[in-house]
Order: sequence, then structure tokens, then C-alpha cells
Amino acid sequence: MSSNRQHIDNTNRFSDFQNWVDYQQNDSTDRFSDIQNWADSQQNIDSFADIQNWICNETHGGGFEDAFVSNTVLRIIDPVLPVIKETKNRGVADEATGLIALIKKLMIGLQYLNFDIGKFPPLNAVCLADDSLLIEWIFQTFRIGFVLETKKEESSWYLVSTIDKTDFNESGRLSDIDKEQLVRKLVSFLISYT
Amino acid sequence: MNYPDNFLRGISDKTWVSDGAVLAAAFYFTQQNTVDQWEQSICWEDDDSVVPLMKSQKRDSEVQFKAGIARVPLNSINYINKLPNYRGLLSYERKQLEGNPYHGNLLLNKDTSKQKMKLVAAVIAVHYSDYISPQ
Repeated sequence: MSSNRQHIDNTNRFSDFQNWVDYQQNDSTDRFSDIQNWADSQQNIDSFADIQNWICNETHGGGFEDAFVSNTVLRIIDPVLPVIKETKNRGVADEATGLIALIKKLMIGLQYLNFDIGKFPPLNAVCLADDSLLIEWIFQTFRIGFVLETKKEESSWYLVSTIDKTDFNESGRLSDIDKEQLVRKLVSFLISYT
Repeated sequence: MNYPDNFLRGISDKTWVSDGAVLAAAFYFTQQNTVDQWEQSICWEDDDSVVPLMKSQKRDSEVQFKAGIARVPLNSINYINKLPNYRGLLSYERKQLEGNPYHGNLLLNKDTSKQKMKLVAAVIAVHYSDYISPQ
């Protein structure tokens, strides 16, 4: 009984998310501020957590076992894993693993919501000479990046774009922000523009 | 000083290119000049001979730009340089080398933090217009 209720509640929340994305796809003028407004309005709902909870419920508490992850998600995520494994600095590798886990969870959730994530390119990662790690998601008119530094407080993120021939750049330190909210916000952006 | 419409950035590390997409790391400023500006080595595309010259360029008996070349419109740099967060940070120069009259540098203000440098590189990366494979 309670399981059905949980399912209905989540379904409504997913509908809200879908409606919002549909709206974004039809009206792309306000872009990031709309995403922020939407994210702010979801404070009592927290769709990302709902997606995660729902998946855990559906798998009887089994979490995100690899067997449960589709090839589409693996195609996006897998290319960065060997690079993270080769990362010399343990702190950088741990931070990268955490970020990738967040992205992976969100991809799984989006696929359950029937978003076409098949058109998302794979993530890229490269170890740099200063032992930092760059994770970059490259799309035709924008790119999302995470620069993970050996001094964790210097790690940063960015979204740079030339969409509509108007440069649009956002960036910040990863230590200053809730990473789940950030990843949700960035993925929301790419849903709107792919 | 006259400059052509595009400059070329040689890419020496294969991990900086993925399926024809050039990562921002290819545009990092990693060297400092005599006045402590950050510099990034480029070639000005003055004519059609520049790409073949770069492709044949060698370092330690190996092809130097084994991951290819990115073409960047100069007006992108001028444009970035006018954006509020990057105003006046970038400049450029010609600096001929022996055997390479097209060589030059992109320059970044010396007081730019490492975090900002990597962000500027990402902004440049989103503007490159073509990727030229090494073959």
C-alpha cells in the first residue's frame, strides 16, 4: 500500500519535472535563470533525491548495481573510469568518483523518465601535469567541466557556451556548492539544449 | 601588426582529443614569458602552408602535434576579451622562430589565477572552429 502511494507521489513529481523540461524545450530564452528558479522551487520536493529513492525502491533497496545500469549510461560514464583509476592523487580520485557517481545516478533516473540520453556524448577525462584532473562533457555549442585540484578547496566547475551566438558562462568552486544540486542544475541545462 | 582571421593550436597530447573533440586542456597556458605573462604557443594561419608545416614539425625526432591541430578564429579571442569576466585578460603576438615564421603566442595577464586560467582555456575551447587530424 505504502509502496503504491510512494510510486504515485513520485510519478507526480516526475511529471512536474517532465513538464518543466518540455517548457524549457519550447521556450529557451531565459535558460539558466529558469533552471535556477526551477531548482529553487523544488526545495521541498528534491526531484533528484526522489529519482534516487525511487530507483532504490524499484530495486528493493539494491541501489545502483552495475547490472542495473543500461549500456547507454555506461557509454557516457565508462570512458572516465580508467583515467580516474590512474589519477595519482587519492583525494582527486575520490572527488572525481563522487562526481561521476552523481552524474551516473542522474543519468539512470533520466532514463527511467524516458529522456533520450542516447544523444549525450561520453564524458572525457584527462590527468594533467599538476596532478589535477579535468572531466569535461563536450557538446557542440557548450561544455561542462569539472577541474579537480590536489588542493580540494581550489577545485572548480564551469559551464561555457556559445548558444544562440551569445556567450554564456557560469563557473565556481566546487567547495562552495552542494554538488548534487550543481549536477542536477547542469544536467537540466543540457536536457534543454540537446 | 597584421593578423590573419585564424590561428592554429598544435595538440601534442593524444589524451587532449576525444573523438574529434578538443578538450580545454589543449588550451591551457603553461609557460611564462620574461615579463611573467602566461603564454600559449600558436601559429598564425597566414596562408595554406601553415597546416602542412605544423603537421611536419618534429620534436625529439617525433611528430610534435601527434594529436592534431585546432583552428581558432581570432575574432573569438577579441570577443572573449570584451566579456565582463575576461575583459583585457588576453592578448597575442607574433614571435617568429627559426624555421617557423608563423609562430606566435596567446598571452594571458600575469596575475591570472590557475583556476581562472583553466576557465579561460575552456572558453577558448568552446570557440575553436575546426579540428584538423594529424594524418
